[in-house]
Amino acid sequence: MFRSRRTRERSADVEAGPDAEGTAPAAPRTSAADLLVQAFLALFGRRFRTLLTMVGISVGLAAALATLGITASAAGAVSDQFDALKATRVTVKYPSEPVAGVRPRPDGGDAQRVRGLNGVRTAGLVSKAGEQPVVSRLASGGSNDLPEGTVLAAQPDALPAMSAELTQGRWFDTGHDARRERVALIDTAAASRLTVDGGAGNSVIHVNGVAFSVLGVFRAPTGDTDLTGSVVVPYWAALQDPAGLGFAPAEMIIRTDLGAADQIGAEAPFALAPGAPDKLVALVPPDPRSLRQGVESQTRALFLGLAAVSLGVGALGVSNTAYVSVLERRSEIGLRRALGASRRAVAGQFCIESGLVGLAGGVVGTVLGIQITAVTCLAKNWLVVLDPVLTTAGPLVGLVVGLAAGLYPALAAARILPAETLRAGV
Amino acid sequence: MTDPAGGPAAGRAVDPAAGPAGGPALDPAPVIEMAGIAKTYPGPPPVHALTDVTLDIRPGRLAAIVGPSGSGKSTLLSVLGLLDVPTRGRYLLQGRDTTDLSERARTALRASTLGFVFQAFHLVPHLTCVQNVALPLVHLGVPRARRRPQAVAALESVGLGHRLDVRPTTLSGGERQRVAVARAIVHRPAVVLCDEPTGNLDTANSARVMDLLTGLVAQDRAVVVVTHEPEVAARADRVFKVVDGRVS
Ligand SMILES: Nc1ncnc2c1ncn2[C@@H]1O[C@H](COP(=O)(O)OP(=O)(O)O)[C@@H](O)[C@H]1O
Ligand SMILES: [Mg+2]
Repeated sequence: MFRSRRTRERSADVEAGPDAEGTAPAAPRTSAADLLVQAFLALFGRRFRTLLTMVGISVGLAAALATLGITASAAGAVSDQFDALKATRVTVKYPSEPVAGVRPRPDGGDAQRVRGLNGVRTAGLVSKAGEQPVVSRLASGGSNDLPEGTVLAAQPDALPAMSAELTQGRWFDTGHDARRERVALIDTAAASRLTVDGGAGNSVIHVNGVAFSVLGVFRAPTGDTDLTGSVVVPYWAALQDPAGLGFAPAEMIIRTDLGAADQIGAEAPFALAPGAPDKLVALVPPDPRSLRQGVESQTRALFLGLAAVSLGVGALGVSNTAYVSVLERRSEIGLRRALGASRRAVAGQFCIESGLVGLAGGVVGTVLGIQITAVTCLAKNWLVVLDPVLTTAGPLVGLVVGLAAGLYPALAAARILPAETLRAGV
Repeated sequence: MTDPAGGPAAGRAVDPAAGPAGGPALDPAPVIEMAGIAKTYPGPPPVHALTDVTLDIRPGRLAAIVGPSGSGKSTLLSVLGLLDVPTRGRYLLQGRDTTDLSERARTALRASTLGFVFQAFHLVPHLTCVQNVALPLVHLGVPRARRRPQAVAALESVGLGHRLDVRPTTLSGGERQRVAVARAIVHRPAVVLCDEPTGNLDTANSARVMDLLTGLVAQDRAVVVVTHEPEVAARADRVFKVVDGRVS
């Protein structure tokens, strides 16, 4: 419809020949403020349609913001976990055979040496039973109540260093170790299988037939395969091996300050074995920063793509509605042209209309996106991480998207001719 | 109806009945002069909608354009209204040659000197009556403070002073066309061009709208009415008959 008329006006323009501006009255210029008023009146007068269009942009923008917000918060939660548990843990492995004065299972004094290092919070030796133990509540029971269980011999400070949390009873201390007491701590999973309540030494479990009284129950950090379902006995057991468990070479578990892990990983072997530091292997966590970036760049790329798609769908909605509205308002546009509105004024009014819709949609979408992010984070128990720049950029993005989407319809509107008003039936 | 601006020929007696017979001595200078105007719509096939039209339109006169459907009446009105450009010929509006004007200049001249009434009213449905009537002032850039008083005065002059702030969609057809007449005169144009202004109205409302238009003539405006209706043509001082793009 537009096309045939456009060609006609083009030819009319050509026929109009050279500009006679000098002698003609100045072209009336509809002021920007008036265009804004006219745009607002049109949007308000057509509230229902305006609202529908706005919803399109709002949904797109809310989706975009929510994906960004949720990704950021999820990444934040992920890196929080790395920060708290992994990024501050250094493990030093002892050799499996005695070499150059370094023994596989050193005596308890070693922990003292690393504790003196700057940046170490706590440290303790741990050694894992090599044999699969039979853990039972009964002294001579043939039944293994903890078939998946492991036994660890650990210094008192090793458990907090591994981020275990006491839930019942008490930790054993260096006294228990020095007195070679047969006491044990068990993890909550093991406790429920053994139906042990951890109350003041009144529960006894048997490891390969040797009795240990349970001092307390702890909770292993999520995902820790060594501690989950384990029985922990004092470190002396690794040296004496009263139950014949065949303990593996020891590990020094060090909990460091945030950011000190690399440094401690380099220093600890020297502190522990000044003569042969290379016989010890220090495991340090990956740099938390690079880890976080890795997580974010992967998920971000995906979600940003999704966000762009949803915003694009919203923009298409605006563009389509604006175009339909131009078709519907042909007589209004022709009339305005007849009454003196320039092409630019007509295009301007329609651009402003889509821009306002985009802006309003942007504001609503931003609020919605923040709400969705907040509710999701609340449900997932994450800290809300939402860049404040995003929340201020949201309405602006809406405005820009609205303007861009309204550009083609606005140009189509500007092509409508004033002579249109004389067409019968319009 | 009052027009404080009056007109250059305000003092001269203009008796519509005297009309074309008034004699050349009494005839006011034409506000529009057309000579050899042709309009061809580029095809294919090209349509020669107007061929060699020569006519003039004078202030204080009601001119009617009649003719069969498809004869070129609307085309003639669109050329008269600077809504479209003729293919050939000379068109003087208030003595100014319009044929070489740029689109912007044509728009400016049209907005300031012409008023339009359409068969389909063309009222903007989301605007109130006052807002509709004020549209020419908006696009002419008249200062905002002057717009409402002027629009209200125009609406009062067509007997719709009580309908200022309602939407035109709540009005009857006759009332709507009167709003359109108010809009056509709110900026006091020299010429009011009407395309079948009574085409969608019943007899009573047609008469009322025609009364308004003849009232404009009494204020020394030029009024041009394209019409099918003999009663309307009968009121005209001058009747142009269009047949196959030719005017007689
Ligand atoms: N925009 C146009 N493009 C091509 N032909 C047109 C256009 N407008 C009118 N015509 C043709 O020009 C002739 C005159 O039309 P018009 O002026 O509308 O007649 P009327 O108003 O007397 O019915 C008709 O043959 C019509 O089909
Ligand atoms: Mg017609």
